[in-house]
Amino acid sequence: MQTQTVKSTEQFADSSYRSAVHFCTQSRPHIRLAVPKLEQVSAFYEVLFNQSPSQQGEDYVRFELENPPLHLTLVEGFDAQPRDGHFGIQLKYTAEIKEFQDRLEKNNYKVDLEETETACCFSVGSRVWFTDPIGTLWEAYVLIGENTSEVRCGPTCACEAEGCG
Amino acid sequence: MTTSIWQQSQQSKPPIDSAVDFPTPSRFHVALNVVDVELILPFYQTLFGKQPDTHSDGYAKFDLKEPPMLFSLNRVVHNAKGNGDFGVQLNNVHQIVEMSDRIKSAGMEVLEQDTIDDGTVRKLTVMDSEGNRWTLFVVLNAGTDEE
Repeated sequence: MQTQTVKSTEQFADSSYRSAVHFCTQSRPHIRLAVPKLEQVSAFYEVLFNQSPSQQGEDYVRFELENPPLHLTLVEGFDAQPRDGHFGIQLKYTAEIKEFQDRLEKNNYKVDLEETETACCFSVGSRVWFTDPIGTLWEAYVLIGENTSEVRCGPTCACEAEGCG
Repeated sequence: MTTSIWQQSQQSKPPIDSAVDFPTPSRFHVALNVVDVELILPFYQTLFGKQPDTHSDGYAKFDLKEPPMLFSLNRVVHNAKGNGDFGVQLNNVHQIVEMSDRIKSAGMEVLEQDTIDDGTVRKLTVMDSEGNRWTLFVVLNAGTDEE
């Protein structure tokens, strides 16, 4: 019979168990997006995150972000089809929404919709909506409060248009 | 009366506009379209190790400190593609071991797994009930561990 050794926390302190990559949090989200044209999509994410990729190869580009904590890999030709739903960057100050909008517009990416204190998905928020070059929907937003009404979303909210509920 | 440097540093920050606070300056958000929120929910409860913070008909939201993320499930039947490729990058292998134990005791199937020489899991991939993949990983060798 095989016996399994259970490691103590001290044993995991050994550097061979620790990440070779440093980041500020204990963990961070990862997304992998399949894209038909790497350069075009990568250029958009450089503007969105205001940062160059940390790694790139022939068929992939990786962004490692501290703010928001995120590990994003773009892979070319890997079963490329559009995503459903959306991604977002949740902010704390409404002035920061404008910073995202200004940076995108200065680089000729347009913002699709601006919402100010709009009810959406059981909360009220201010946000801008935009899409990456392959149609992935993004929002930069601040959650202003809970939506206490019976109605899940307001009539103008972008996700209502998508048909949630 | 003098205030300590810590109080001064608190005072220099204007109050936030956000109704919710979180430890990082900004936070990543994923809104995933799904066919059946109730059916898919146990997978995410196991993955994140907690109950949703908001849960109502056709909607669930997880407000997570680790990984810093606001994750929501929205019932959007006509546009639930189930092609998401998500994951969590971790700082230490012991976090993978903990998550792996939770996943295996819930009876969830592990699709792929990568172990290091002593058999400890470094990376594993699971799939929710609609086909979205989640890979939990620690990069132990920068440049060669590809995620």
